[in-house]
Amino acid sequence: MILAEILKLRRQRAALFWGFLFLPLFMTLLAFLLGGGLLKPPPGALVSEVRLFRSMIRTLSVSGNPIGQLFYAIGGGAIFAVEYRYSGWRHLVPRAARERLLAAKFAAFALFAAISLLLALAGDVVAMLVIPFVQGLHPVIADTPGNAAATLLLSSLIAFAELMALGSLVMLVAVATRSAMAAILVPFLFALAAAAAGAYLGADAVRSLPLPGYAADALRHWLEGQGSPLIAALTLLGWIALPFAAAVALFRRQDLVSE
Amino acid sequence: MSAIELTGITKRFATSSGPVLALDNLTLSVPHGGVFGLLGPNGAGKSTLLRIIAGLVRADAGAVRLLGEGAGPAARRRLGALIDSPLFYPFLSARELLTVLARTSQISADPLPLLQLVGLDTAADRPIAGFSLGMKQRLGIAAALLTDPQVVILDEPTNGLDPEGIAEMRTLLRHLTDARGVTVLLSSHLLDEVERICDRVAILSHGRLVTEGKVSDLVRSERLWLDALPIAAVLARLGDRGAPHGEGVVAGIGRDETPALIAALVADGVRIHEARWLRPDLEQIFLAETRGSR
Repeated sequence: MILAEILKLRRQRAALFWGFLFLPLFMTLLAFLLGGGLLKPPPGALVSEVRLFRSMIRTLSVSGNPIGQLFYAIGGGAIFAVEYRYSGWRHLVPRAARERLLAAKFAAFALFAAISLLLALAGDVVAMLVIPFVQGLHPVIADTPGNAAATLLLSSLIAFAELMALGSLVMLVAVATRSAMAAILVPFLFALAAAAAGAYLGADAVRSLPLPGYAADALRHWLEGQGSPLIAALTLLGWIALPFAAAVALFRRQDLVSE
Repeated sequence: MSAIELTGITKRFATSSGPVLALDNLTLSVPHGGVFGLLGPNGAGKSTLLRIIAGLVRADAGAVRLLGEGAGPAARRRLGALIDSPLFYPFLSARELLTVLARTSQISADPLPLLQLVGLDTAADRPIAGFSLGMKQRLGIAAALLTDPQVVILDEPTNGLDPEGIAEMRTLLRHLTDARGVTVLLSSHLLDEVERICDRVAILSHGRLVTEGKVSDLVRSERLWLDALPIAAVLARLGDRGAPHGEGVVAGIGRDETPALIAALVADGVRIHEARWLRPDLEQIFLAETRGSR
């Protein structure tokens, strides 16, 4: 079933590009532009100190960026709302249990989100290592903390979990509204409102709010040695599980008179 | 064992003008094998019924059994369905669509033989967006047959087909039932087509079953037509068994009752100009049953 969802998304080329490929490509191009075009090396330098680890961690924070979430919501909308848009449920529902159909869609979203994050990371690594060569310098990785691999892995998991929370919300809105537009815009506006609240009220004022973005930030702070991860991890898991469960419960009872 | 057993199916839809009763305590049994036609005017509840069987719509009350099992995902694996108009993902090709559906059904099936069966093998790799309605209808049939089902439900399967396509569809359905033992439940507005292809029919009106039986039995139910005056006297004599029909009256009586009826009418002073037996076709039965239930 997951393969079926993958094939459908592969054939929706615009949604695949804007939803999962544009961000890694854009971020890589931006890294090349900023690193190679705007930041000139000092005269006479032979080596370039590359802060690869810090750059990769920063790249992973795209999962919490409202604009980043908009693009991932576009990809999610193409997966979760396509059956409503093209009357696809009438062909699928008689063939498999409804919860399995939704689970396959969620798994496909998870797969493409993971690939997108990996592409963003790979693009970042390529940009950080290639730019010095372009500038005629030898790259030297300047930040290699002892726990770099574990921190990078945990940061990746946090970013992935944040996207899964987004995917879960996109799925719920798609099922509830039967609309791809709503499935994209509602989670985006939600992320935008959460970011705006943080900007206006201050990070300390909103940190305790049980929202996925703040929970992911709290987990990132924990990786830097600040705070406790338990509440934040539970909050993030809750934002994955609860909308998912609500979407499944709603879809199981949904009359598909006209998708 | 029935292929499809529907017991007390009731379904209401909420609309802006209040709840609408789409199916009203409908009980129907579709026997195993053969082609079963589902007839009814627009709004009779045919599509809702087919969607309930396919699991797309939940009944408010009642039970659906498929091949003796409660209609759940497991039982529906033996069901093929073409519901409503044949809409598909326009960005896929016919071959890709069948691949997607096979993967969803968790089977490995080669789409090409099915596409050959419905005459779409030469268009297998063309995007569905460019398909005509008839091609989409054929693709829908192929999709319904993908899992080699024991029961197939088809909603208006001849919509958009040209006469040649309709004839091919008739041949295909007969092949499915006669050679493969598949039970076909189809809804259609083409009554002459239903009469030619179906073994049994059920007629729905306002969500209720108004008649059901073998096509051969239904069209055999002759009625006596009388051109007689005054009509009111004829209707009074016939009671529930009489109804105006054209310029005369149609009487639902048996041949053995005819002499007594005519004698009684003459005794009542009715002038009988013509009396003849009508052997109805399915369209006449359909119109009589659905008008009568309004």
